[in-house]
Amino acid sequence: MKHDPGLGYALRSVHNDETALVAQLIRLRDQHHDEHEIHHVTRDLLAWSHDNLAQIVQVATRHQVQLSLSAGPAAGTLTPQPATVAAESSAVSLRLLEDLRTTYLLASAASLSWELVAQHAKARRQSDVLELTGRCHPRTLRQLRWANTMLKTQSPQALTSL
Amino acid sequence: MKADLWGERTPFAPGERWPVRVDQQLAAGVSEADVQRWVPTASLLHSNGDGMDIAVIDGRIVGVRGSAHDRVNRGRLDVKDRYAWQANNSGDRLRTPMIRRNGRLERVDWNSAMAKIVQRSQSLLAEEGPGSIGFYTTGQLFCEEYYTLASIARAGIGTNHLDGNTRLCTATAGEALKQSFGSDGQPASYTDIDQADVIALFGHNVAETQPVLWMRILDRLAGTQPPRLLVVDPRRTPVAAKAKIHLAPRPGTNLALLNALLHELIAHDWLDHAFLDQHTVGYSELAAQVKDCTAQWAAGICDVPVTLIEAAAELLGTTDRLLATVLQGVYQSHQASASAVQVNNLVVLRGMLGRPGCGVLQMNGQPTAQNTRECGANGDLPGFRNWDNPEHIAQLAKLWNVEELKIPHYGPPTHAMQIFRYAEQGSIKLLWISGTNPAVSLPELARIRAILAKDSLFVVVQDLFLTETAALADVVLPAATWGEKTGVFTNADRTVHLSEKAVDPPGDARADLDIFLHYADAMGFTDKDGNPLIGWRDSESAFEAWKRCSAGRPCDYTGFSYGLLRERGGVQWPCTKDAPDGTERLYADYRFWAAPEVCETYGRDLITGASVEQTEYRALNPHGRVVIKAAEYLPPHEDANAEYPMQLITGRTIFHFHTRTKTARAPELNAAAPDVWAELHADDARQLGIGEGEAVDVLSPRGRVRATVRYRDVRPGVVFLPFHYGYWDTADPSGPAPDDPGRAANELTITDWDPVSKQPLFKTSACRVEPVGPTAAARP
Repeated sequence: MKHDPGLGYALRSVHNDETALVAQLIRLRDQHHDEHEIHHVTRDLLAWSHDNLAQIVQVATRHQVQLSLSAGPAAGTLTPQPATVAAESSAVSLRLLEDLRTTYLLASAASLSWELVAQHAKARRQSDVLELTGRCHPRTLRQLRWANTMLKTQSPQALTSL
Repeated sequence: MKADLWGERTPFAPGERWPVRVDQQLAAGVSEADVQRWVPTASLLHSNGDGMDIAVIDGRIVGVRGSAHDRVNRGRLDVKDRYAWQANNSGDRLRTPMIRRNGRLERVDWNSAMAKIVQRSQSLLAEEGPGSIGFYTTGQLFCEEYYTLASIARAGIGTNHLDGNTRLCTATAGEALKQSFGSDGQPASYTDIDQADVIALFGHNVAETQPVLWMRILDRLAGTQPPRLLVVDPRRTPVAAKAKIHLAPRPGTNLALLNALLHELIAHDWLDHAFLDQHTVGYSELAAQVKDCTAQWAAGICDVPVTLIEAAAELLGTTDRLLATVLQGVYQSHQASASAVQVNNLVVLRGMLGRPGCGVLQMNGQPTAQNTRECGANGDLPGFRNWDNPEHIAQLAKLWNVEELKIPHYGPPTHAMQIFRYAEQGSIKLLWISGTNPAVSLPELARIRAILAKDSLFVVVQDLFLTETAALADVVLPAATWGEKTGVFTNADRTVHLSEKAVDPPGDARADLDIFLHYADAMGFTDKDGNPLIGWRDSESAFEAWKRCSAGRPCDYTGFSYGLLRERGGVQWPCTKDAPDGTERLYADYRFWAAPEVCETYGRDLITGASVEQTEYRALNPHGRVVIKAAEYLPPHEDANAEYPMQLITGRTIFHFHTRTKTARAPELNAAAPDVWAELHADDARQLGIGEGEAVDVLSPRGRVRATVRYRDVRPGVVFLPFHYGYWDTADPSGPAPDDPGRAANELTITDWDPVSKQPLFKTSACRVEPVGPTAAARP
């Protein structure tokens, strides 16, 4: 098939979302050095995201899809700013919660885009694209669950010590 | 001291009983006839749980001997146990409580010290809430003490912040068992060594960490039909020297090696298909994960010959009695839990569970680490209960007669490294440290010292001596120890011993149990009917309370009593009405504690540590089978690089325990290993121009340690430092000034932990070695 605008839309959407997620993971890695688990695990998660992006590019090239260069929603825009800035250490804890929350939301967006890619591939019976989602989507979901777990684990102390 | 640290051989064959060999050590000038009383206990300087008796003359400890009929050691003692009892009699034991006033610790009476702690606790509870109070305990108190502390923390204060230094030694063991079998609980028994055909030791230098267990293996090796050993260790340890196959992978690559071994088992169909079909879930995920993990692939990552990996797999795959053991070489290294779980998988794929000579022993490092885990003082809830299961919280609330919301269960109990992070941030304002020395034992010591010294953190330390940590405390409480109090403790193969009081503690020192009970009284903790929360007054009544808590759980103690333990010596849990003699090995009936209703955890992602939700777990494992979990190899977070071209691993020597608080006060042990050294491969040392016995500085991005070089058969590119040495017996007990070389290996270690078990990684740091002064090559 010559033109496949559905595939183009879905791949561009997942590429944008994964790119935004990478930017957010870099932020998490670089802004939270003192949160050692966040810092170190984020480096592992980034390796997954970079690989996801490389695989998207590979499939897009094969299917002659032009990927957009825009980076998707800017990291941070999905999170409302806190009403007041508390003492310094509290502010640090709150920033971490916000960054985890943004990570979760961006990973959710990427996950939904992966659903679009997969659903389109099933409808079009594109097994290589389906295999792409089989390799990449689970990693996005694991990143999402990680952000959720870290937010749940860290938030009680951060919020009760404001 | 005897040249052969493991004593004379008493060979035995498979199926025979390990012969008795009684070891005894009395103070100079004391003969057996002089001893007035022999008081039963078990060993306290490693996790093996060797039954022993303390010799007493006129209220003073004068020696020890192994108990001939104990199932664990059959009379034997290791070198630490032979000598370290002398530390009990040491002149510098803490005898009175102390409070910091104007920067100095001053002696006070118990009521003043306790009033100070209570006042601070109550004002924090009123102003900041329970999350401002944390407890950091040990793997060396007794069962009754942990259960009391856990009850105080969870139901009295209501804080989520209680953990043990067992986080550094046994957290991954517990986590790996939970991930595979649904709940903690050691599957195999030490007696499986007696019948095993292949013993595979992963990162387990048993000769130095559990010397009496090594004697058992040596005696099998000396007998007919000896077992074959597979040893995975970057050093040629005494165990590796006896191995049929020794693999020495690059530090940080355990998971790659294990995935290749699993690949080989599957590729050769060395599998127990019936067992996999009937008793497991998740096999296909594992098969997919390791599909491409060939021996060739792993050889490139681990720098181990392909043929050795293949031979190791054949050894594991073709034996009919396989026993696997795991310790710190896995637990304190990169991808710790993921790797420990793959060792479980090796055993599971081969169906080697619940039968004599088979199974897995996920070991502990400390004598009572098992109790820290069972009693809920190690980041779990008492009785291996699941914080994420409302029914389990209801059970505890009923037991303690408190509201369910009083017991924090909004997340997993806070682990030690996070407790210190909260203290660093200032949200934990009172930290009560019992029986452990984080100022020497935690990673990145400059950071830990800074946290403990913070004005905003009120530090209580309860210990035997003025340790490096106690020297930073606001209140110091003198504690009684082994031989000076009565209680129960449990070893790595679930053997429970009663340790009886032999002598009085020095001065005003008190049993940890009495200290906790004093605090509970003074705080006035009550249940929801206004009755005292802690309804027990002594160790035996505390044990009875613990038995009620353990009822119906995997670690069921209801069949035990002090009387039974006095009569029988060591007995393995679970011990119940139905199993009055205890239980030698778990899962003989292939029934696991993994069903959603009973399991201790719903699991975690082995790479990210993300929690699995209850609904997901119900779908995955509705019938409570063994869960086979797979994980991909990832490179270490800190690897050798241009600036720090070598890899640092830390570990222990047979002569010392932890930070030498006791063992350095035994003259024989101290003389055997008085100061820190660095083990290097001779090729590396020569290339750096460093002669054997010369001083070097080992540097990492965190600090610098000065040590004497020993040429040893470690992997080229690896530096080994023993972690025992601190500063209390140096010119400046407060530790090195910034930029000065230190003595503690943890000046160098990275702050990073396994995302699943939260165990710090002491065996995955980058470092470099520099000669001190002119090098051998430069000298005329």
